[in-house]
Amino acid sequence: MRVLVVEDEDKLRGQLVEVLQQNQYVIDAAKDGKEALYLGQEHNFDLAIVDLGLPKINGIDVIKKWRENDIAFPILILTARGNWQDKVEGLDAGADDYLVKPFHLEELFARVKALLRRSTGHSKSSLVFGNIMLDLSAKQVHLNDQAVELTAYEYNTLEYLALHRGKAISKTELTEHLYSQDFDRDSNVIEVFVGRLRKKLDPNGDLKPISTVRGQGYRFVLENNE
Amino acid sequence: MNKRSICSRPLFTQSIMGRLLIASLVLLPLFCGLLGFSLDRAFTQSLRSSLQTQLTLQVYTLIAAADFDQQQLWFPEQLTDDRLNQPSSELFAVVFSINKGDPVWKSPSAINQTIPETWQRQNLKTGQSDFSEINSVQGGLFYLQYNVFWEDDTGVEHPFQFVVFESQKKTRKQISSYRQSLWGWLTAIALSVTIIQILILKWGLKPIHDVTRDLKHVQQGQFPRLDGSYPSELKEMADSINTLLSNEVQQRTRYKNTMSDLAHSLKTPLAVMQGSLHKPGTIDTTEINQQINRIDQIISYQLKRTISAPANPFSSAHSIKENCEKVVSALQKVYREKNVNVTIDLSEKMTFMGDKGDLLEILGNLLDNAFKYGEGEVHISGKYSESRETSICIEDNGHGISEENRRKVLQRGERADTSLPGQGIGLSVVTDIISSYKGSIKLAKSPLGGLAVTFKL
Repeated sequence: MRVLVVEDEDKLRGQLVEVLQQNQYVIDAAKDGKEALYLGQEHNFDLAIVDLGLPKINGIDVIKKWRENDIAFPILILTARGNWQDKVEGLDAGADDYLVKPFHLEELFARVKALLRRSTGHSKSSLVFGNIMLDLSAKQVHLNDQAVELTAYEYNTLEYLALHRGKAISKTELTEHLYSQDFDRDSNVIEVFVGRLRKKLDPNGDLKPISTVRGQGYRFVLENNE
Repeated sequence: MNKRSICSRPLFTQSIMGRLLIASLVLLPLFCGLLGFSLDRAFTQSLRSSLQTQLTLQVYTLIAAADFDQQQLWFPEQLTDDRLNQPSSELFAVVFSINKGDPVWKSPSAINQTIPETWQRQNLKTGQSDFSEINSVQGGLFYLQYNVFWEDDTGVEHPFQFVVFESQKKTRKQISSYRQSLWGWLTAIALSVTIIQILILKWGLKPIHDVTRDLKHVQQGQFPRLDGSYPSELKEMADSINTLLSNEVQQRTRYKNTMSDLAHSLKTPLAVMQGSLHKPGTIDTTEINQQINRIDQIISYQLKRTISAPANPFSSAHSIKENCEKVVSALQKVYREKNVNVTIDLSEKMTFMGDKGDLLEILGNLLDNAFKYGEGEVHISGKYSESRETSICIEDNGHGISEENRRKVLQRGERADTSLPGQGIGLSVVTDIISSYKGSIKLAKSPLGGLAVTFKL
């Protein structure tokens, strides 16, 4: 999942980027409103974390401009003052949730996961497709109630496909949301991940959870039990 | 900048009294001048009119005294009006024969009198008169000419023109004396009015001077508030200044107390953290985390308490319904997954006189609790009493709060220090804000099953 972190305080921005990257999110960071506005309009993010008190253009104006330009990714606002006027203004401008500084990282992850889940139309923190269960909170996959050993990249590939179930996802889109900008786009690593996922989730080849759509990419085809 | 612009004005216009005096000093001469002019005109007109009547009477008397015999007019030697008999009496009469054009008779008083050459007889019809004046080097004359005819025994008409002249000297003297008296009086009246006006202004503006003097005393710290007895026009302003002063004192006390509370309450968690750092072996991160949470809660609570301002007499009115809808719309986003059903039963008339941030803080905290702890049902209702007191009730269908805990959650200033990590400070902040507006808050069990928070403002 590709996340934009907008925070002017270097240390906090650095910490956020670090912990989110450790949790397998692909991160782009901006230190002021102008840069954030540009990045948000240029790239297709899954989520943005925006501090309200930003230099050059304040957080609320950045959010308003994104929404005016039909940019629909979920936005989590960070506010230092924590008063309701700021929260209401931020949510009214187009944000989806707020977090008051200082915050626990667990709280941040919970909000980020909930927003990502919600943005793809899922209300529960676990997705069940027949005998396959994705625990979005623990970032784990179970097959017939047995935990499946997946690498972080494998899990992220599966999560992205499962959250966008039924939709053909191109290799480029997958790469963009799994790797940072400097990743070699021509690599066939996605094919390798999908191949491994197929083997691990469907060892007998009966289920066929991920189908290849010729010329378009991959599609997660199983029905959600939700 | 303001000071400079005031100083650049003439000294006199810096005071209200100066301005009013300048205005009246411009207006009064104008008024007196116009009044004098119109009275002068009226007097002159009335004098002319009375003179015309007198001269007409003189002509009638002469006509009555005249006798037409032997083709000419005869007058008695002694005329009724003595002035016509006395030379240089400034009243004389001349009778012209219209057919011949020459004077046929002159009154004895006409001796030494010359008719100015510029005077010309008017061609009038019989029975018609003309009153006018002529100016000459010797002095001006008023005159009245009147045409009349006598019929002789043969029935032939003999037209004559009777002209009575009167010198302007007497009239001019009368006018001059009248003017002297008129302008003298008007000047005296203007001066008296000015003096009376200065006294009235001093008396009328005295309360403003009193307020200014009292404000200076307040500034110098001699009085805490404006306590004088001011007229009704200034009373409201004085009351507003008093409210502002008292708000300022309250706010200052609040800041002072908050700073003191903050310093005091931060020391305990800091001491605990210091203690855990000095423990031999590993650092107890759970303990440090707990203390960081505590510090965060203390700062948030005290900050919100300080920001919430007491009711300001100059606050604008904010629609409660509109702000309620804003908060609900924001919370619907945050709690999207709960699918909370909210009913808002508020009148558009309900307004909150105060800071918009305070209203949003009250509604935000209470509604956030209702969304968080309710089971998907929130009801907002309100009443508006005649005494302009607004009562708002926010209910949810959650588990509510037990009766003994209800009092605790509202207690001010105590929870921040003692609360456990994760426990909110919302209700105590709301209580603080509401009490700063001299309102009240009550917790009860809602018919929906959860908590019903009712606050009056």
